[in-house]
Amino acid sequence: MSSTPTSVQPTGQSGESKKEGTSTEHINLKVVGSDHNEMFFKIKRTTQLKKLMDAFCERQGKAFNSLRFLYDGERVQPHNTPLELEMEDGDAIDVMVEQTGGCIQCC
Amino acid sequence: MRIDFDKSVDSKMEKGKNAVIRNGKRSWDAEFVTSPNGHSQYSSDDISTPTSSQNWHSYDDIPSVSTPIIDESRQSDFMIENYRRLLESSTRYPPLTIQQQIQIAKYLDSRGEYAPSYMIIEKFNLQISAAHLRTLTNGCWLNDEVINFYSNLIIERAQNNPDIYPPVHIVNTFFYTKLMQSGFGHKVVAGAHWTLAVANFKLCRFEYYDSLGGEFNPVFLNELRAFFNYLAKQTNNHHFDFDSWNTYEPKTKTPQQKNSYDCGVFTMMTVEHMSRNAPLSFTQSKMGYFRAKMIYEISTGNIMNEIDDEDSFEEDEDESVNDDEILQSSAEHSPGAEAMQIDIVKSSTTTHQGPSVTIEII
Repeated sequence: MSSTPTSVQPTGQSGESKKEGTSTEHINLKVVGSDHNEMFFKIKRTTQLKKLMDAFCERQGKAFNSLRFLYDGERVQPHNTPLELEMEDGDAIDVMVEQTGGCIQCC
Repeated sequence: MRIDFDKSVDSKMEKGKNAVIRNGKRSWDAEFVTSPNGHSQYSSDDISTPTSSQNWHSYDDIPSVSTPIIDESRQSDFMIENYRRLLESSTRYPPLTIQQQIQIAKYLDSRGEYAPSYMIIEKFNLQISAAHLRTLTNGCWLNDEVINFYSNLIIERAQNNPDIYPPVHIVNTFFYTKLMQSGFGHKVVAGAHWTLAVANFKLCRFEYYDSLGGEFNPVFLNELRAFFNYLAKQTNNHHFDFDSWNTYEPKTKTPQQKNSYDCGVFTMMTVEHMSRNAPLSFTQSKMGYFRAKMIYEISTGNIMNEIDDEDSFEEDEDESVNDDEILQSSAEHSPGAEAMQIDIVKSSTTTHQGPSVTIEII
């Protein structure tokens, strides 16, 4: 965890008290993984979501190009910001795993 | 999930028509897909209907061109094959020029000028890299990026040419996963097969097309009904009752794959044909061409037009689908999928996360 690039830290201990102080500049986002696991992120509205995606991938031990981030069913691009996508506090980003298919019985 | 209910849908929901279909006296399948002479596309002179050894007694019994037919008589096999070819050749697909084929080969050459991460095209908020495009190589499984991109091409074509193509909406491939997850909390197993579900607003029924002849998953069907009912309520379209919609599963009458990798191409070609009201008369033998065509179309961001001639499909359009909600799904519960699921579980147990963790990015 210490290797995460930005100051990424769980709010479980220290973050909780700060919650009220970070009113409009920051936003809390829920990232819902394909296995129903939820991870919460606090991010600046103007920060590119790439940081969130990278942090999520790192935590999950997944390659970035194997995951698809969706907000309201639409793909989220790494360069998008919460402001751009008009995200609101508490909104969820869905994470889907790359899908591939050929047949049922085989392979 | 943004789905707009077309205002014109109301006028299309004629009760009389609906009843006819419910009684099973006339099905779209018989009328549209399998009938050799019920469609303006084929002149009756062109079709030599196999007779003697065939048991094609009634109109409805005529097997689909794609139905695998097992017959002892070689002669009739031969005739059926001819019949199939005739049907296929009467669908005018645009040919690929030599230059286009060379370009396609270049895209597919992993040692060539396009590295796997090379961005071929960026459109519809999707980025198609050479690696994604290469899932269209013969024998490979298609991935979600290619399917979703091609879906968008079909939507765009319909939007840009509303006088030619019926309105169509195609949800992305994650709709199925999301629907099955959120509904009754069913566990979704990552799929290994592409299939197609259609909400046909013209005929008021849910349709399911599977290139391996599978059936509508009843849970999925229920979720679909619930989803559309919810949507109708939200949009104040109270006259819709999706619980009463019939289902239509052509099973083996849907063009069938004869291998373990072409279902993505079959699925997308089914969508493409339906989106222009063309009969589903293609077979396995066309898949190589379809893959090449898809590669070219994706790389250019445009669908090539089918060749116009005097036997275009347009005349019969009133009889066919006019307003579709097309859904893709990857089928669940497959051996390959189990393996994938295990993989997911494995990787998630090694990471430390839970509902209580918040990560701050500043």
